[in-house]
Amino acid sequence: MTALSPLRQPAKRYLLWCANEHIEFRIPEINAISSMFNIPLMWIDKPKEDPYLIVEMRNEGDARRLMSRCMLVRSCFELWGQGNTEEELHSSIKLFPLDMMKPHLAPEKTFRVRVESFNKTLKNAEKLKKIESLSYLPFEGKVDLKHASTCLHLLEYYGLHPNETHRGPYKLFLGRWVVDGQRELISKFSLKSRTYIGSTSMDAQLSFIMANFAQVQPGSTIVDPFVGTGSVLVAAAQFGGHAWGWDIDYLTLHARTKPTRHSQKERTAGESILSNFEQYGLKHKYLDVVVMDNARPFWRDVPYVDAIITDPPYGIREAMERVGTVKGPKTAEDTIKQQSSSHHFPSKMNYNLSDVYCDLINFAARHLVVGGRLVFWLPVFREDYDENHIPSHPCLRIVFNCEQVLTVHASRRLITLVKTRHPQEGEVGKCQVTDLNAKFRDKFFQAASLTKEERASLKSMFPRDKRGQGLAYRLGESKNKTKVLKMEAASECSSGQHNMLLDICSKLPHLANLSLVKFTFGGRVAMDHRVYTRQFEFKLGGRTVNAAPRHFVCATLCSASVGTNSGDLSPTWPLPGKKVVPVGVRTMVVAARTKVGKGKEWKSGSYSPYITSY
Amino acid sequence: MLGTILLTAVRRMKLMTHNMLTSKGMKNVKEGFPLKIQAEEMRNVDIDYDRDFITRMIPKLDWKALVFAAQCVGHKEDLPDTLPEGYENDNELLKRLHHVLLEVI
Repeated sequence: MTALSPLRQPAKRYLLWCANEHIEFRIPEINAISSMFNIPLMWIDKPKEDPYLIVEMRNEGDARRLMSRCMLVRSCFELWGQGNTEEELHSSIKLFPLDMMKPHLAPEKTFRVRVESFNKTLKNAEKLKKIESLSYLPFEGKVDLKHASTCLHLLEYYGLHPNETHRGPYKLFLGRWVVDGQRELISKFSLKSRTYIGSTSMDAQLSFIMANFAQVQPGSTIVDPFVGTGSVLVAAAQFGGHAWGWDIDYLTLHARTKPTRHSQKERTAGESILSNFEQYGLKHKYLDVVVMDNARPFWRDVPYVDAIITDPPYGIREAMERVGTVKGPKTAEDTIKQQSSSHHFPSKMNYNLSDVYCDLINFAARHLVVGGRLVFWLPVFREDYDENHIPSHPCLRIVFNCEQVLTVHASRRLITLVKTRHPQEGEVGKCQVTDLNAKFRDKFFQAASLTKEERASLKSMFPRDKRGQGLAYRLGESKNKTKVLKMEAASECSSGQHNMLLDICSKLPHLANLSLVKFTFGGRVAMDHRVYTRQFEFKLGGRTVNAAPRHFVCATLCSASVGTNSGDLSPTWPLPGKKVVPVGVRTMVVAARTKVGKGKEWKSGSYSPYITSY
Repeated sequence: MLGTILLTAVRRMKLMTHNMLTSKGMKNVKEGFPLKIQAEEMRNVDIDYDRDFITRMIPKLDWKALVFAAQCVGHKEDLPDTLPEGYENDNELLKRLHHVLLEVI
């Protein structure tokens, strides 16, 4: 019946206004939810970065069901018109069938119109003007600004870059508000107010996204083999899953570890994983948590799990441990000693990261029901990442793979696998994990000891946008083209970097018109944090540019935004060189941020010049 | 015996969890199921009844082990020796199961 109804009912277009974060997770999340609820969904517009998505769905009921789980969508609107310019928008609204508009604007209804702009603040008068431009709509009801039954939203999108808003909006939409997403859960389940948290508790929003990827439904059984403080399970329970968890760390499970909250000295009696469930009224979703070693699971051999959602330890903030001993064979004395104690606490040894994943995947192959999902984070060293590194198993198929950038060189990927069939005899242990995963920890700490220059060159290779999101696709596009200019020498701070910049300039004939007059470095390497007037001075196309104190200087020689600067400050000097100067190595950015003054102004000592090339 | 060792370390456990655990991970254990229970203290908690979940879990349970466990904690009379057919519609049984599985810890 569900298959037929799209034929009987013409599909409607809906606009999904998404949150401007975790962009890589946005579309997979919507796909996961629509396939879980069996909602036929057709993508009309699926931009990579822009926070407005357009989909076709059968009816409003479907839209509401979809939104009942979406974490990354702010609101859903019935799309009445769209365009790249105001004229296009209005002509598109006029094409929208009147009989679909009229019931919502009828005399017995109340209405209101809101103008919402993305990346630009509009004055009230401007907004009013825009609202009045819609006067041709067949409004018959009364205006009610507080409790209107019909809320029309005029959405204007001014791009993602805060410095490029001078032109008009890129896209405009008019939509009737249908329903909001589940963003309010983020503050309700915020870790700030959670009873029991630890050093690696999962952020509320990401936990819900994980639960969505795992397609948690009421009545399903969810397990987390690295339960920790239960932060992932709480989200799954909120969506109706019944949760089991285990962990090797006895102290964490019993809330006896050192508190991680800044102000807290001791754990209180009320803290436990169960108390986290009780806090949100989810006690009935809590099954049990058990102390158990993942290398030796004590579960009966039946496929009883609908979804496994977990965040294994990466060995950075939480140790990777399993039961075992690295000592020689036991002596008889040891055995007696152990038996005499009624509570035996086995010794622990290091648990290799690839073994962690191997055991996890094998557990999934054995205990998931067919169609059940395994959702887990995989830490990767970005430079070495390759799709083949993702653990695989003949019985599991990969569904999603989304990146969350953590540092310049490290990120983690949320991997979603689905079980396609039960393993045959001898197939359980067939998990394939590459050894590279195991090196993550070493590399992570190696990278921490990089020199400033090495880090700068890495930074330019792996841009991290202001939302802290991974730009994996950008990385993919530019991977082959990018050639990092080797920044040699320059071990000494000011003179070294000065020479380096000169060196770069000499290597690039395109930059002939850029000559460095004087380049004094304050920044993180400077001994004293004072900046004098006109210290930052260089020539650009025949013009000498001087940086006034208290001013943020940003000479961007390309269209690329200064990836390394802080987004809260806009350039106060509209440099002529802000226009694009193509450079051999793609782009070159010289930026400095100066700080003079105290307290409220800018963060002390926060000026740092960057020379980056990518 | 081995089972007892495992469970002494556990302070509270639901019978639902007990039904899923074995001691197979230990050396020289072949069957390791069901685990013996030496309950020192029992408590009842109130958990919202979720018929859908119980119905979904029943096929995954080992009935014999459940009856054994219920006997250990003194709830033998709540359960029939074998799982009757058509249990999906027997609300009374499902409710009793809910109590034994989730509310006794």
